Amino acid sequence: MEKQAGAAGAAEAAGPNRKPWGLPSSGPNTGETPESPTGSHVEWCKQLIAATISSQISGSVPSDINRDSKARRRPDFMNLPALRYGAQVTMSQNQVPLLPGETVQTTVKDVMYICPFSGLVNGTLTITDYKLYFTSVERESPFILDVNLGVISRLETISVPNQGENTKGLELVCKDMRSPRFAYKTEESNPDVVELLAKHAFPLSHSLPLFAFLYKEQFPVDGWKVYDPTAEYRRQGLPNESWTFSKMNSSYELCDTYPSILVIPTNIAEDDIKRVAVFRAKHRIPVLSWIHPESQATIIRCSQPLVGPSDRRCKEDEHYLQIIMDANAQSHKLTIFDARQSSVAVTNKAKDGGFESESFYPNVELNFLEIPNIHVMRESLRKMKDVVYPTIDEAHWHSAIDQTHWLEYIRLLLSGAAKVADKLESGKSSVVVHCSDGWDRTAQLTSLAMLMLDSHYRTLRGFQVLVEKEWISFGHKFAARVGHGDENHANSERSPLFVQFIDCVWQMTRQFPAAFEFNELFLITVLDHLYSCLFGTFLYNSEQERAAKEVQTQTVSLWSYINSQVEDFTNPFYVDYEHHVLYPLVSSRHLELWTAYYARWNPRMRPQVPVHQTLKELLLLRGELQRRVDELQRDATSHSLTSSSEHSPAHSTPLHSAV
Amino acid sequence: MFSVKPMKPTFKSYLPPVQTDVKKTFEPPIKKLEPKLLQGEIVVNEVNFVRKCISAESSQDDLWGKLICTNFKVSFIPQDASSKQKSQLSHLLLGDHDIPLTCLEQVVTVNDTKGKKKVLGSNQKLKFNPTELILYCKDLRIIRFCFGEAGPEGAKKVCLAIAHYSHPADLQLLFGFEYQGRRYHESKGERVNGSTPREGLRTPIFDRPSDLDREIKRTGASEWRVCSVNEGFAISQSLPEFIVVPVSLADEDLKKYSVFFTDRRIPLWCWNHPNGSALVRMAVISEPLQQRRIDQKIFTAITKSHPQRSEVLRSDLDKCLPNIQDIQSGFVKVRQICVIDHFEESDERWFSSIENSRWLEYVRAFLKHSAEIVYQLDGKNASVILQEEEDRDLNCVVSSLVQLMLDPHYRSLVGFQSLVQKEWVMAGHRFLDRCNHLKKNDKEESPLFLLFLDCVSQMLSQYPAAFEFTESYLTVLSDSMWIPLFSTFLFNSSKQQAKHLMDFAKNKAIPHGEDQVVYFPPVWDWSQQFSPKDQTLFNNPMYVGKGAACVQNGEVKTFRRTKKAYSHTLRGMPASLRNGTKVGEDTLTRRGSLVSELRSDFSPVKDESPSERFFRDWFSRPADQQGLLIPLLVPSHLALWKLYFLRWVPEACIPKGGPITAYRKLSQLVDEIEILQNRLRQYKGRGPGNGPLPSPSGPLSDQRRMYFKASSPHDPPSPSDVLTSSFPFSPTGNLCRGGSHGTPISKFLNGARIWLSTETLNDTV
Repeated sequence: MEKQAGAAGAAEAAGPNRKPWGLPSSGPNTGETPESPTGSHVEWCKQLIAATISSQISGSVPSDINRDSKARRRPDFMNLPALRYGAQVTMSQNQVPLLPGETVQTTVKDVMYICPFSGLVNGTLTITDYKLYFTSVERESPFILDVNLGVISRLETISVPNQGENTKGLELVCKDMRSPRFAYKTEESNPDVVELLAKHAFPLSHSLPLFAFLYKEQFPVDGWKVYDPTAEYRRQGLPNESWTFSKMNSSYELCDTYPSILVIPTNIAEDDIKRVAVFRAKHRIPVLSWIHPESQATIIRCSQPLVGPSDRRCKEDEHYLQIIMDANAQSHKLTIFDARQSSVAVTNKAKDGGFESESFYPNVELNFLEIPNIHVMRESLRKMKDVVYPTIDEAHWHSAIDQTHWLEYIRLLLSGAAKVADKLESGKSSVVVHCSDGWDRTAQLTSLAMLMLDSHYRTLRGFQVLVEKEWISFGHKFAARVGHGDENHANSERSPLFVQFIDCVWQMTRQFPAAFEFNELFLITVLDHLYSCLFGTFLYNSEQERAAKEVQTQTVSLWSYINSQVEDFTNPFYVDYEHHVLYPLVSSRHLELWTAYYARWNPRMRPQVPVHQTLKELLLLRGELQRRVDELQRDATSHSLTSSSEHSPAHSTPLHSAV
Repeated sequence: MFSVKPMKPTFKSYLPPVQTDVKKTFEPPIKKLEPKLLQGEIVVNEVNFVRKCISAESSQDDLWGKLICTNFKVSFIPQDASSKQKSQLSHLLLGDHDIPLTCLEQVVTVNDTKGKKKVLGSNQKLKFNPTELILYCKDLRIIRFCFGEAGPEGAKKVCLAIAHYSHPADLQLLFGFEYQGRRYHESKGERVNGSTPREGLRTPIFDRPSDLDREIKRTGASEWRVCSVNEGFAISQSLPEFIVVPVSLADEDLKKYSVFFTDRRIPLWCWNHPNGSALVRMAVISEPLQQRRIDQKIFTAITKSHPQRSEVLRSDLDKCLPNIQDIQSGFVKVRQICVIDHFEESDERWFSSIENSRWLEYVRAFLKHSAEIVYQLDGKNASVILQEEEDRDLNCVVSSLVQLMLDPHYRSLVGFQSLVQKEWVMAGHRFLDRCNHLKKNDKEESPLFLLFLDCVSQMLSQYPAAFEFTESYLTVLSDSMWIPLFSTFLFNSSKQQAKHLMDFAKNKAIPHGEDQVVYFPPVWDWSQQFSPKDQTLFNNPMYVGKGAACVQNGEVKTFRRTKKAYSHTLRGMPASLRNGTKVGEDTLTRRGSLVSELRSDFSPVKDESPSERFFRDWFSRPADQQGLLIPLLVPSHLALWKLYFLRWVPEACIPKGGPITAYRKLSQLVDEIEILQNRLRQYKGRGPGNGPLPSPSGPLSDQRRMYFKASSPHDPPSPSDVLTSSFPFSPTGNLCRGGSHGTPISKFLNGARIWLSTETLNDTV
C-alpha cells in the first residue's frame, strides 16, 4: 500500500514556480505546466476538505465538487504555508528568474534542446554565472530547462547531422545522472557558448570565485549555527571522567584535516598523542565520535596505522587503544573494523600503511569489512547512469541493475555499519573504525552506525549535525570527491561516496518509513546542493580550508535554506523511535534502486501521487475539525450556565508522537 | 533525547526473548492437549511428543506438543500454551499452528539417519520411520516437525494420514461440505427471526437477474438485457444461468449461434463505459467455416447496442499473453527464489533471479494489455471483445483489470468483491482445477487468480488512495483460496456449483428451495473468518472514494460523486484530443507514459500512435483517484509483491519497520478525524444552551473503522515491536527450510528438487 517515493513529484512542487531559488536543477518537466500532479492532487484534497468544512460552517449542502473548476478560488484558510521567500527572486529582462547576486552572462536565441524523450525543442538559452536556463514558447505551454552549472562534469561537442553546416552540438555531461544536449548556430555575432559555460561551470579553473561567494540570499534562520561541536558532545554526556575535550588541534597543528575540537581519553600525555599522530596516516589519530549513553562503549575513528613492510610498532599507539578499551568498563575487548578489503590492507603495508596486528594489540579483534575503494564506486555509478539515462532497457532492467553492483556496495556498507552498531549495542564493546585515510569509508560507516544507534540523528536537525560532524568537520574531501568548480573531470580523486551514503540513508527511510523526521525531498535537495555550489556547506576539503576561506561569513549554509521551511522537508509519518536501535534489513530483497533520484530525468519513471501528500491533507482536515469542535465547545460552555461538567479538548495525537 | 534504552533488539533476533526455565517448572509435565474442532470435524490420527521447528539455526525455540490430523486440518497443539508463535491476525477457524489440508502442496517425510526422504501421496506406503515431516503449503509456508521423541509407528501413521486426507478422492469429501451442513442445522434457529446471510451480505453474487439488472442500470447499458436462455444450463455447461446480451439478439438467435462456440459460450457482457462502449468476453468459434458469419452477427449486434454505433474491436488474448503453463512456471520459480532457496545465496543475484523467473514480466504483460483495452474503450470509444479459447482464464484477468482501471466502483471493497464474483466465479474460472484442490491433475494448476491479485497490488501501491481495501486484504483473500469452507473457490463453474450444492442439500436434508448462499456461503462474509476488529485491517485509511466520510449538515455522510462528475472524468477531455488529432505538442511527458520506444534524438514527435498519445496525455495530467487509472508499467514501478512473497521469510522480516508503520500513523489520524467529526455532529445536533454537553468520548471502539486507533493519554504505550514488514503475519514458525545444521539431508532439501510435481510440469511444457 505504500509507495512513498514521490520525490520527483515533490521535487516539482519545489521547482522554480514556488521557490525560485530552490532546487538548482529543475528537470525538463518542471516548468511545463504550472500545475504539477502533486499540486493538483493537493487541490483535489483541499476541495474535499473545503466542502466538508464549508458545509459545517454554513450548514448548506456542499456543491458538487467539480474537478474542472480546480479551486482556482481556494478557500483562504486552506492555503498551505508556501512561497515565503519567493519574493526575493528578480526577473531579468528575458523573464529569467535570478537569485540575489546572480547575473546574466549571455542570451542566445534559436537554440535547440535535443530532448531524448520528445525530440527537438527550439528556444532561447540564457547563461548566468549560476545556471543555464532554456525556455521555449514554441509549444502551447512554455517549456523550461534549468540546469545549475555546478552540476556539470564536462562539456562535450557532439555532431548534429541534418541541421546545417554552421550548427554545433553540445552535450552537458552532468554529475547527477543526466546529459542534456543542445544544438545552436555559430555566428560571428554570437558569443562562444562553450567558452562561457566552461568559464562559469568551472570557475576555479578560470580564477573566478565559486557562485556561493556571490549568492546574497537572506534567510531567517542561520544554518551555520546548526552544528556546535561542544554542544553535540555535551548532548552525548561528554566530557566525563574518561573522555575530555582536547585543544591540541585548535589551530589544526596536530592534524590539518581534523576539526579543531577533538574528544580524546583523559589519561594521556600530549607527547604521547603526538607520537600516535606520527604513527597514523595523515596524523588522523583515534578520536571519539560517539558514546553509548549506557554502556559507555564508544565509536572511535582514525586512519590506518603506518605499519609498513617491516611491521613497525608504536608503543604509544598500542597504549592509546588500551586506554580506549579501558574507558569502557563493560567490555575487555576492543573491536577494530577496517573498512577495506583485507587483500588491499595487506598491499597497503608495502606503501607504508597497514593495519593493527592482533599480536601487538592485546584484546583487540580486527575485522575487515571488504568494501572496495573509491574508484570501484565511481565506476559503479557510471554504469548506473548508462542503465537509467536516457533510455532504459525494460526487458533487462533488473539484471542491468545487478550488473552495476551499486546495490551490492550499498548492502556492504549497510551491513558494515550494522556490524559496528551491533558491536556497541549488543556486544557493549568499543569500536575503532578506519580505512586508509579515514575520511571516506570511515565517514560512511560511522555516520550510518550512529544513525542506527541514536534517534537524535534521525531528526531533521540531528541529521544535519551528523553530516556536519562526521563528514564536513572530519575532513571528507568534498572538493576533491565532487570536483567543485574544477574542469578536470577525469581526476581519479572524484568519487560519489557521499551520494552512496545518502542512498544508504534513503534505503533506511524506505524500511522504516516512520522513523525519520526528514523526507525524500530533503535527501534529494542535499544531494542537489552537494554539486550546486550555491551554498558553502559542502565546499572545500577540511575545516581548516573552510576557515581560511571564511566560508561561514562569505557564503550561505544549505541548512539556512532547509531550516527556513522545515515543513517541506518533514516526513509526515514521523513517529519518534526515541529509544530504538534500528537495524536495516541488509538484504537485496529490501534494497531498491532509488529511481526517484537516479532516474528522475526520465519522464517515464515518475512516481504517482506520494502517499505522504494524503497524510498532509488529513493533518489539515484534523486541524480544522479540531478548531471547529473547540469553537462549538466554547459556544456551548458560554451558553450553558451549568458549569459542573468539565470538558477538556479531545486529546490529539501530537504530530510527532513517540513510540 | 539521550536516555536509557529499554529495547535491546539485535538484527539477528526477531523472536521474543526465550522463556525462562523458572516458568516452565510451574506447569504440569504433561497436559492434556485437545485440538479445537469445528462442527463436523473429527480427529483422524495424532501423535504426541512432536517438536515443531521454529528456527533453522537452533532448536532452542522449538515447540513441543501434539501433532494431529483431522478431516479438515493439520493441527499442532504446543505443550506450552504461551506460544512464541502468535499471529496478529487471529483466524476464527484456524489456530496459529493449523494448516487446512487443502492448503498442503506437498507432504515430505524424511529419515535423517538413513538419509531417506519421500514425497507422500494418497494411499502410499512408507518403508522407513520418519524422523521429520515437512509440509510445503500453497500459501508459501514451510512447516517442519521432528519426531525424535515420538513413537515411530505413531509418527508414521500421522504422516500417512495427512498425506491421504490431503488428497481427497472427491470434491464432496472436502471438509466444507461436512462443516456447512452441520452449521446450517445448528444455526437454523438463530436465523428465523433475524435476517438471512444473503441480506447481510452486501456483495452481489450475480446468480440472479436482479444483480445483473442493477449492474446494467449502474453503468447505463440501456441497449443490453438480461437473458435467461442458459437457465438450468440449457445451453452452456460453464456459463452462468443469467447473462447479459445485446437487446438486438433474440434468445432464438443466441441458441442458434451458441453451437459454434467452444463449450457453447456465447458472448458475455462485462461492463459498459459511460460513453456507450461495451466490454464483452467470449470463447473462440470452434467451427472455422462459420466464423466469419457468426462474428459478423455478433459484431453487428454489439455495434447496435452502442449509442454512437461505434466499431467493435477484438482482442485475441491467446496470441498476446503468456499461457497458463507459463504463468505456473513463473510462479514456481519466484516461489523457489523467495522461500525455498538459501537466503544468502539467492540474495547475491536477486534482481537477475527475479527477472529470470519472469513472474513480474507476466504481471506487467497483463497490466499492459489491460491498459491497451482501456485505451480502446475510453480513448477510441470502441466496444471491445476479449476472446480466448475457452474464455475462462486469461479473459478473467484482463476483463477484471480493465474494469478496475475504468470504474472506481470496483475499487471499493464491495465493488471489488462483486467484480471477482462476476468475472471469475460466475464466468466459470476453473477454480477447482487451477487451485488443484483434489491434487489430481498438476497440469491444470495455475495461479491465475493470484496473478490478478498481484496486478491489483501493483495498482494499489501506485495509487494508494484509490482503493478502499489494503494489501493485507488481498493477501488474506489469496489465503482464503486454500480454506475449503466457502463456495467461492471450490468449483469450476456455476453449473458444477449448483449440482454439487443440490446433492449436498439433499444429503444434509436441507429443504428444497433454500438459498445456496445461505447454506454454503461465499468467502465474502468475512465474519466467518475474522473478528470485526481484525476486519478493520482491510480498510485503507487513504481511500478518498465515495465511501470516505465527510460531514454534511451535522451528519456524517458518505461523499458522493455525482454521475455528472463521474462521466466528466471519463469524457471531459476535448474531442480533438480523444481522437488523437490535436496538432502540436502541448505538453511533454511529465509523469511517465506508456510510449514504448524512445525515439532517436532527432526525430520530433510526429510518428506517435494514437494510443501512445492517449497514454501520454493521461499521464501528463493529474490522476483522479475516482476516475480512470492507468498503471505505470516501467519495470522500476513494478516490484515484487513483498507482503505476499516474503511475509513468512524470517530473514526478510524488518523488525519495527515496513509499510505498516506508515499505515499505522495514517490509521490513527483518520480515526482521530472520525472522532472529531462525530463530536462535531453531536454539537451541531444540540441547539445552543439546551441539553447536556456531549461526552467527549468518540464512537464505541468496535464501530471504529481503523485498526490502529488514535491514542488517548490513558492508553498503554503501543506495542510497536509487533510491527514488522510481515505484519499482520508473522514468520515465526511458518518457514523452516533447512534441517538441523549441516546434515546432508538438509542440504538435499534446500535444493531445487523439492517441488517435484511442478518441476515435472515445467519439463513437459
